[in-house]
Amino acid sequence: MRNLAFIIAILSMPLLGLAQNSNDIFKKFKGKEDVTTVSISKYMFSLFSDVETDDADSQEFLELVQTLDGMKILTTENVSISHEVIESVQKHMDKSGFKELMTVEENGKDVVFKIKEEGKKVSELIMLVNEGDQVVFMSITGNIDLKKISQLSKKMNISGLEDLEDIDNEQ
Amino acid sequence: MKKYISIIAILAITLSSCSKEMSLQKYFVTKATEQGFMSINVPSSMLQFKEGEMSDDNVEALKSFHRLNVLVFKNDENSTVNQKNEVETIENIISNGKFKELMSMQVKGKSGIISYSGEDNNIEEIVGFGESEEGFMLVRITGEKMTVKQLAKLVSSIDFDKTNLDDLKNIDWD
Repeated sequence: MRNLAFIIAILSMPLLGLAQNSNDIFKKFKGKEDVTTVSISKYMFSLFSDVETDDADSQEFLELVQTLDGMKILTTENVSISHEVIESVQKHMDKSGFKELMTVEENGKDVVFKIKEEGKKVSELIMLVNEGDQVVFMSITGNIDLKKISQLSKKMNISGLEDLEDIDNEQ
Repeated sequence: MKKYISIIAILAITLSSCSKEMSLQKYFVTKATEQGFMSINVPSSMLQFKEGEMSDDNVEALKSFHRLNVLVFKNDENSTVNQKNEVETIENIISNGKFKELMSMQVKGKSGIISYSGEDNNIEEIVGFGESEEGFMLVRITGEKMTVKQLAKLVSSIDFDKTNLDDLKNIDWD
């Protein structure tokens, strides 16, 4: 019965012509078995605004997160769900006008970074990591400074994000 | 027909929430004595601090921290409590606009959410709620003008070896 409802839901999506955004993808997979989702809100980031640190890297990191609106991460090791996630994310990126920022392919691992621009600002950064047996989808929203975003990877242990550190070399 | 019912339901909820809004405080008090629930209440005076670390900053931080409440519900077969209803009630309370969501997480059938009320530099309440099939847990830290800075300091200076958790046994284990 649940399966049936699920199939109907999926089938009706293109029919309704729903414009998907990243949140919809998280909503769709959230709470499912084998799926882990984490969502951090801007309130969390702003709470740390008065934290002081002597470490220059940490300071930069704290300044960076102030400019973010939110961060969502979804990961699964379930093969069939992985396929669904990749399909949803790709469809979403194509439809919503994301520009490719960088792709990394190594040892059977695919990492794609795409950005959405509003005017001259980057309003969303998406990362999709496909490691075959594990998929990670991450969305960061806010007023993103691409030069600084690699700080995130130094401070947060998110698989795939370390590739962003190379971005300075590529641009 | 279904629409009709849901409209009535929505109306009923709005009306009842006007007259007597369920607060977290009320929820804790009501449930503390109910069967299947366990409640723990830790006033700030119970925490013991490492020697020499009771700096002025910490005194300040401790003053801002009032108490810690924990409410645990264990779902077993004999339980007469409908967990789904309870979870719904709690979710309604923490999504009523007073609380700002800091972080939420769903891992393998378990879910957790952390919210707070107040402002950046004046946190009044921090609420953590975790749920799984086996039950749920609600944690509430109340205080006045708490900041992340202070909380971090406070936690790092608590001497967990000396803080006597046996004191908990005397309190509200129902």
